[in-house]
Amino acid sequence: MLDPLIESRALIGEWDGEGRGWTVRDWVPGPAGTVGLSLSGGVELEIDVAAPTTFVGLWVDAGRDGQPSLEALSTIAILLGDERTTALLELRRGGARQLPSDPRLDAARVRRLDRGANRSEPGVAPMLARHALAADGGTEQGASDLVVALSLLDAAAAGFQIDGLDLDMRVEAMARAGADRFVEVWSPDAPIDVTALSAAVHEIDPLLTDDRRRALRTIVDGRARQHPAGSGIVAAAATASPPRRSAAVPHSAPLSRLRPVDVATLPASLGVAEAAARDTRDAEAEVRIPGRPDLTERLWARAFDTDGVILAAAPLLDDDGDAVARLLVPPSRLAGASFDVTDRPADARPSPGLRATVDAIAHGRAATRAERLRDPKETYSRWGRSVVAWRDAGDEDRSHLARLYAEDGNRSGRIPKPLLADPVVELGG
Amino acid sequence: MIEEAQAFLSGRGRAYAERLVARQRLSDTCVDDVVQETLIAVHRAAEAGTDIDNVEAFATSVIKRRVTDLLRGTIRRAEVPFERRTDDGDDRRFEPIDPVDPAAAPELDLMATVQTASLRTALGSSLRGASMLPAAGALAVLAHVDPNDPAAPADDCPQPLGGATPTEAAAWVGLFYAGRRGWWADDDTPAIRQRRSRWARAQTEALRAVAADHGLDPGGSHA
Repeated sequence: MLDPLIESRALIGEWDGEGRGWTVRDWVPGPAGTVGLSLSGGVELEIDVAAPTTFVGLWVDAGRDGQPSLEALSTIAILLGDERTTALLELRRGGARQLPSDPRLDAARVRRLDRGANRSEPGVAPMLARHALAADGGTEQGASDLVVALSLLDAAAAGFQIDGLDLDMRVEAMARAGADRFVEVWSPDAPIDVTALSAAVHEIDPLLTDDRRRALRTIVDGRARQHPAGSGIVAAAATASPPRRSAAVPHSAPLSRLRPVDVATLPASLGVAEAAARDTRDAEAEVRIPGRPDLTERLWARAFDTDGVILAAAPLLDDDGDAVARLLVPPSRLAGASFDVTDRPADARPSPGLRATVDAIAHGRAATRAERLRDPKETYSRWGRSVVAWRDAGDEDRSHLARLYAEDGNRSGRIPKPLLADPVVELGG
Repeated sequence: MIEEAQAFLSGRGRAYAERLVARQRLSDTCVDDVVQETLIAVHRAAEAGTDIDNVEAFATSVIKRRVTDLLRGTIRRAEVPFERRTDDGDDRRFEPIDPVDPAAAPELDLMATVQTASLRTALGSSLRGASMLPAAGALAVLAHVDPNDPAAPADDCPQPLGGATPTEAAAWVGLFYAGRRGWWADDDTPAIRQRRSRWARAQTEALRAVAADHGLDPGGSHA
């Protein structure tokens, strides 16, 4: 019998009557939030981004008859082990309990410390954690084709090493799609860790057709010859392409300070990763999304005062190929104004606390990428921003934890190896 | 469906959101956002003509998803088909050019009150459907006529020639900043002038409506 993929000791199971399903929890999510992984049978796994082998939660859908499907049963048995699965599914209305430890795990009890602080404390199997993290990277808003390709290859390579979870079809599809896309979009100057990519390609080799294998190998082996083993990440900063998308205003525009624009509530399908505002006069601001004339008269820009009261709203119009809105704002409030772009201008803006939370998680995720790339300066700086944003959100605990992460380095072994896509994302590709 | 969702979200649905938010040790302030986002999702489903046979189950599922999304660092909303509104709107009757009567214009009086913020908020929530552009224009008018902090329009914002009232001039500012840039031409036609006139009245009506809702007399004196 396989060992369970989640070996955390202190799991709390609960029947959620309103949500019609079962939850299993351990640690609360850390300052970089979570990534989720949908598994067979309506099972969803959440892991912690900053400490990926830390188990956060599991959701199991109950069907209309109040029972899990056979696929769900199989999935949670692989994740938790048989005894915990049985104990979980016995829970009904109002029921919550600590799930028993799997007898095979009891031999090595560990003392609970801070998350990730004890190398011997078991959690989520590292390959399952890497599969979830990499798969999530491929779905990030604004991810370039190269990032998606590398994320798919990475997720496939990790997923292929997980037994029992019925991931075969998904992993095969990821491997093929990742290979096809990578062959199509790679460039010689892309900042790719050739050694890690080669290992991933080797891992998924059985899943590839001859054509794909040959094409991938030609690229990887060619890069390896150019950059012999041990060179690791190709530092391509000098030759790397500029970020794919930038909200900078055209050079012809008068100089003024660029100001952030919140695009967080826009539907992902619109593909708007960023926008920028600038003051054009003492009572006017301009919000611009460069190179997106397709968005004109579909989206609206709004300005708010420091209390969150709306000051102005205008549709984005075509301005020489950019989507631009001009907002008339009382002069004394322009300096403190904040801006957003929305497809539903009548909908209230999320509260400052919620926006601070989302910002804190975004900074935390950027910090974890810098950590994986072993860049201490960026790590410290980004965790620092997360510390401040969590404080703004009123969450001192996560703010404190983010500070600990900033100062702690990797003494606990919390930080995994870089994802294949990390260097590319870091250089704005 | 909306009423049912509102009732649920003010009672058991809200309690469920509070539980989920507390379970993840997130700030209490997130509860209002989760409930609001859930109501928006119900609105969108209704507008899209989605048939929901169990509103509570739908809302519960959205609450759960919103809390999860928050932990994943996203608050993006689902996309709905976008409606483009034509300049002409639905009303195609011939209308004479009709400057707004200053005595009936509420904005100058409104700006003297401390209720400006709530008026702006009310206009903000009118930014939907046919009232979208008039409400945006009305917000620009409020900024422009603020007696304490007036926002002067840009140089390229058209202004009426001599003889126009301040209210008419303010209406043009509203039209311009609501995005109606093509409504001025060197050779203004009667059709263009009618269109401007119609939408200027719509802006004024938007202001008048929120003024009335806030107990202010659109004629210029407080109730």
